[in-house]
Amino acid sequence: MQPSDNAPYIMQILRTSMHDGDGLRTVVYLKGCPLRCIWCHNPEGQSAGIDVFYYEDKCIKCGRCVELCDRHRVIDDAMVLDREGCARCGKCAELCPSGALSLCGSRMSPEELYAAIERDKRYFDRTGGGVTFSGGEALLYPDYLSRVLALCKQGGINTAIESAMHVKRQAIDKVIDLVDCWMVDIKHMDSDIHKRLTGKGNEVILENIAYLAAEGKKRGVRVIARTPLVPGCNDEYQNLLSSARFARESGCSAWQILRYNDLGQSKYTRLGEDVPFDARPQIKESILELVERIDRDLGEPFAVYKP
Amino acid sequence: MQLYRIIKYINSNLDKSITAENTAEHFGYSKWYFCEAFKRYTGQTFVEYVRRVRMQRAAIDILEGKKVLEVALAYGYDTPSGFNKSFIKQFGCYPKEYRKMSEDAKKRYEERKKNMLMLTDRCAMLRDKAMTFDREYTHKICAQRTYHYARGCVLEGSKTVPETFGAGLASVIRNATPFIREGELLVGYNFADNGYEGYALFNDPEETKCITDAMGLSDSEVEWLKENIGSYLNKCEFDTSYYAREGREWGLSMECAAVGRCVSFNHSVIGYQQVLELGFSGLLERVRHFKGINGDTPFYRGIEKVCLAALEIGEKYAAEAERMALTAEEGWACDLKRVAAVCRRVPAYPARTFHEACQALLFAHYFNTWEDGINANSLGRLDQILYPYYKADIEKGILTKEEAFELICCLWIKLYRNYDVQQSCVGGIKPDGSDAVNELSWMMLDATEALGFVRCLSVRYSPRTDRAFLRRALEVVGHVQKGVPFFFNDDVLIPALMSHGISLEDARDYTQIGCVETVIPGKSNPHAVSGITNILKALEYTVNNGKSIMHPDWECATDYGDVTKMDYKTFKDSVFANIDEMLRATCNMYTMDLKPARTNEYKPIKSLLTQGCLERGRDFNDGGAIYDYCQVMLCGIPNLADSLAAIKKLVFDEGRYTMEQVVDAMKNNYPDEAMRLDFLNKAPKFGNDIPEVDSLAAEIMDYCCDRLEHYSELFGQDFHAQPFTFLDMILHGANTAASPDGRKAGEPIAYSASPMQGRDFNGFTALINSLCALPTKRTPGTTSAIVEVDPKLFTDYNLDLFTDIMLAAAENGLSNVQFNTVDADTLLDAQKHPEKYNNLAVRVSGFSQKFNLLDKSLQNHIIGRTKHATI
Repeated sequence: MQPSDNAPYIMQILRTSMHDGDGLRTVVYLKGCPLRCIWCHNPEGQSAGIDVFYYEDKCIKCGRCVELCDRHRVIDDAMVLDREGCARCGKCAELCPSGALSLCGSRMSPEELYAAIERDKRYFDRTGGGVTFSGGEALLYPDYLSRVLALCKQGGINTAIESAMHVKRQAIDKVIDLVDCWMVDIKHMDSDIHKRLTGKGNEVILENIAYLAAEGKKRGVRVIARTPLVPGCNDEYQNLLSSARFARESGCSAWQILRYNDLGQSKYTRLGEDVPFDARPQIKESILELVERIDRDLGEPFAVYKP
Repeated sequence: MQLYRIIKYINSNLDKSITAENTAEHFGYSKWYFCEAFKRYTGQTFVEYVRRVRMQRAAIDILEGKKVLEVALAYGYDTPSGFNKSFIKQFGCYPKEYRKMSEDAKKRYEERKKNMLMLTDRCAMLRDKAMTFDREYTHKICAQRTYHYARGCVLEGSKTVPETFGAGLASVIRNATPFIREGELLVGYNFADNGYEGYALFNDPEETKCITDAMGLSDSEVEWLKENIGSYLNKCEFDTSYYAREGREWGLSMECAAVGRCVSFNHSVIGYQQVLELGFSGLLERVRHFKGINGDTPFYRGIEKVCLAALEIGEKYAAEAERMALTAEEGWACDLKRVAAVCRRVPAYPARTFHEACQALLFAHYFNTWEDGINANSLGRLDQILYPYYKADIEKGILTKEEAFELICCLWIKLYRNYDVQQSCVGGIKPDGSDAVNELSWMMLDATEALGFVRCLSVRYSPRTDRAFLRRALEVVGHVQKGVPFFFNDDVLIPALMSHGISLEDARDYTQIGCVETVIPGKSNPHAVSGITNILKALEYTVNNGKSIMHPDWECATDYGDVTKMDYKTFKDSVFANIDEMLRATCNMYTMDLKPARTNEYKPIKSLLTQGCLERGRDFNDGGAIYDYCQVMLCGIPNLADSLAAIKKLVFDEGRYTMEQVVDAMKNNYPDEAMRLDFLNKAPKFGNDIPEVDSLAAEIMDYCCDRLEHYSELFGQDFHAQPFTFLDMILHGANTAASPDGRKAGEPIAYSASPMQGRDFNGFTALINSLCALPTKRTPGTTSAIVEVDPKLFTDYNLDLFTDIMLAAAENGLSNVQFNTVDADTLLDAQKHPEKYNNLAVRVSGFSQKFNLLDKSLQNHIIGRTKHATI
C-alpha cells in the first residue's frame, strides 16, 4: 500500500548496528520529538517533517539550486540556503548532483518498511538481533508503529523500542504486546531542571516508566532505563543515584549510563542551526567509578556502563 | 638552541608546574624566541610536548596501580579533572578505563596463552632470519635452479621435449647444493630470495645478464650458460604461430587482456600426499607400471628421470647434515642427526612419522616450484594430508603437541616469502561429508598467529562448521592484522564445482591455488588466472559503433547501430551481444593458446602427482588431468551493472538525460562534472542490497555463465567463470573510457565482484546481501570479495557477534570473503611515512602484501575502498 498521510517520516534506516540492543540490529529512526534536549545529538529528528541538509564541502557550485529557487543564493562565491520561507519541498536536493543538498525524511508504508527490515533477518536469527525503533520519538506514531511491529512479530523478528517516554499512555498500550525490549530515558529526576534541559517536565515520563516497568514485569519483557550522562546538566551524583534508584524501584531490569557524544554538533551546522549546547568534558570522575559507587549505594549491582 | 639540555631539564621537572615562560627564563631566552625555536626543532609546541611526555609517564604509573589523584598531583595537575582531560586527549579514554583495558587485555592474553602454543626460541630465531633479506647469502645460490636446469636440458636432454624438461628438473634435484640453515628441523631451499622467483628461461639476454651477474655464478659457469643458451632454447622453442592475431581479436587482446597466461604455469595443487604415502620409490614403480601398459614414450622417460633424481636427494641432505653435525655444538648436532635420519627415509620411501611427512611434503613442494617457479604453486589441505601421521605419532607417544606445533612453525617459515601465494587450507569437510576440522587445523591457525607474518592460509567453512573454530579463525585475522586467513564457503563452492561435472566426493575435497582459484588437489589442471575479460568494455564498444573509445582505430566488436535511437531493451541486448562476442574471442584464443602448450610445456612433476596423467600417458598440460578446465576471469561486472542501472534510471525512466549526452560523456570523459555526479549519486549502486541494481549484476553474471557453458561445448574445453580481477582492475581501468556509473576514463574498475570502491555505504550486511545476490553457485572460480573492516570488529566484545554474522552470511550464499583490518588513516600515514610501517601488510587481491611494496595507484585503490566500522 501507499504510505498514508499520517505515516511518519523516516530519518534513517541504519543497518549493521551492534550497539542498540541484543545482537545485530537494524535501527529505524522516526522523525518528530516532543522534547528539545539542549544536547540533542539527533537534531534532525526533532521536526516531524522533511529537513534539508547542506554539506558545504560537497558543493561544486553548479548553480542548479540557485536557478531553481530564490531561497538559494550565491554570496561571496559561496552557496547559501536561506531557510526562512523554505517550503522544504526537496526539489533542490533532488537536483543537487553532488549530494551537498540532501533530504532527511522519507515515507514508507508499514509493508515497505517491514520489507526493508526483513532483509537482514538471517543475521538477526543467527545473532539474536532484530529491529530497534528510535527517533525522534517513535511512540508518536502508535498506529503506524503497531502495524510495523505486528508484521515483525509475524515474521519472527525481535523488536525493541528506544523512547524518551514523553508520550500518551495509549501509545504504550497500543504496542506493548509487540515489543520484546524497551530502552527508556531518565534524563533528570528534578522536574524543573528537566523542563529547563528538555522543554518539558518529567512527570509524564516517570509515570510512564513506572507503568511500563510494571507491565513489562507481568509480561516478562525487559525494560532498561538509561541516563545519558551530559556534562554540567545531569551528572551530579545525587541525581544519578536517584535516577538509578527510581529505575530499580519501578521494576526496570537495569539502569544504563550512556556516555555523552557530541556527534550532533556537525549536524546542527548541516541544518543551518546554531549549536545550542557546548559540552566540555567536565565529568569529575570516570564513569566506571560512578557505576561502582552507585552500585555500592544501591546495595546491589544494577548500574551498567554502556560505552 | 641547546635542545638536549632543554629536553633533559623538562623531563626532570615534569612534577613541577613547568611553563614555557619559566623554562625560557631558565635558559636565558625570550619566551617568544624560545617557543618558536622549540616548535621548529621538535615539531611540536612546548605545551604539547610537556603534555605528551607527562601523559606517557603517567600512563605507566596508572598501569602500576597508583591512584589517579596521586598521579595527577605528581605530574603538576591541581585537580583530577584537568589531568583526566589531558589523559583523554592523549589516550582517548579515562585513566581508570585505560588501566582496566590494559588489565583485560593482559588477562585475555594470559587466557589465550594457556590454550595456545608459543613460538619456541628456535622458531623465533628462524622466523627473524627468514624475514631478513640476506642478499649476499641468497644470491650466491639463487642461480642454482636456473643454472642446473639449463645444464640438465643441454647435457642430458634429448630430442623430445618431455625428456628435455625431465632432464632439466632432474639435474636441479640431483646437483643443487644441499642447504641446511642452523636450527632448522625441516631443510631444503626454493632457490629464491625475497625478490627473485628462482626461475628464468634465459630467453631474454638482458634478464640473463642480470641474473648471472647477481647470482654469483663463477665466470666459467656464466660463459657456459651464454654459449649454450642457444641450444637450450632451440629445444624448448614455442610454436609461436598460434599467438598471431588479426583484426578484432588483436584489438580485444590488447584492450581486454583476453589473452596470455593461458597455459597452466605455476598454479597448481598436486597430490603431495602420494609422496608421503608411496615415496619416490613407490612412485617410480607406478611410472614403470603404466609405461608397461601404455608403451615406452618420452613422456614416461621424462618423469622417470625426475623420480630417479628424487631418490637421491635425501641421501645428499643426510650426508650434509652429518657432516655439519661433526663440528656443531651438542644440541644442534643432535637435531642434525634427526634431520639426517629423516632425509635418509624421505622423499625416497613412504613417510612413517609426522616429521618425515612434513619433510617429504616440503621436498615435493620444492620439486614442484623448481619445475616452473614458486608463485602460486600451492599446498592444499595440509591439516588433512598431515593428520594421519600426527595422530599415529601422538598415539604411539613419540610426538608431543608442542613438537608438532614447532614442526608446523618450521614448515610455515620455510614457505615464507615477501609475496606469498603458496596457499594452504584448513577446515571444511571430508570427501565423505563429515567435518574435517581436526587438531592440526587449530594448530595451523595458532602457528599463523604466533609467527605473525603473511602466511597464505585459507579457511573452509559452512553454516554447520564448529562455531568455536570459525571464531578462532576470525580472531587470528584480528590478531595478525594482515588479511589472513581468508574464508571460503563450502555450501557455495561444492555445488558450483559439481555443476561442472566434478563428483560430489571430489568437490568436497576442493582447495585453492594462490589467490582464490579453486582446484581439486591432485586431480585437476585449472589453467588458473588465464582468460581475462573486462566486460565493461562491451558498453564502450556498443556506444562507439563497435570500436574502442580509448584506441579509436581498433575495431573490437560489432556495430549494432546508433544507440541514441534504441530503446533500453535493445540497447542492453546490444551490450550483452558484445559481451558474448568478447567471451567467444576469449574462449577461442584460449583454445588456440592451449595447443602449443600441449606439446611445448611439459610438466613432469605435475604429471607424476596428478591423477589421470600416468594412467593416460598424457602430460598435465596435454589433457592428462582427470579434471581439465580453464578459469575465465570476468572483470568489471559491478561497473557494468551500475552503468546500466544509471542509464535505465536517468535516461529511460526519468528522461533527465539523453543517450546523446551519455555517449558524449563517455567519449569526452564527462565534460560536465555535474552530470558525472548525477550518474554517480542519483542512481542505485551495487553493494547496497538494492535489488534493482543487484539483479542487473546477477543477470550479467548469469549471462556470462550461460555463454561460457555454450562455448565449453563448442570448443570442447570446460570454461569456469571466475569473477576475479587479480590486480588488473588498475590496468583495465586505465584502458577503459569513462563509464555511466560516474567513473572517469582511466580510473580503476571494481575489484573482482566487490562493489566499486567507496560505493557501498549501507553497512556490512547490505554488502554481503548484494554479493549473495550473484549466481555464485555457477562460478566455481569464486567471487573474491575483500571487505575493509574496522579492527574493532575482531575484538573480543564483537567477535561472537561477528562469528554469527559470518555463519549467517554463509547460509545466505556468500562465496568467499577476505578482510582488511587497517584503517584509512593508518594507510594514508603509511603513504607519507613508509619507514614507519615496514611490516604493515594489507589484503590486496587474492593475496596480502606489504603496503610499502605496492605502487602508488594500488595503494590509492586500497585506501579508496569503503571501510566498514562497527556502529
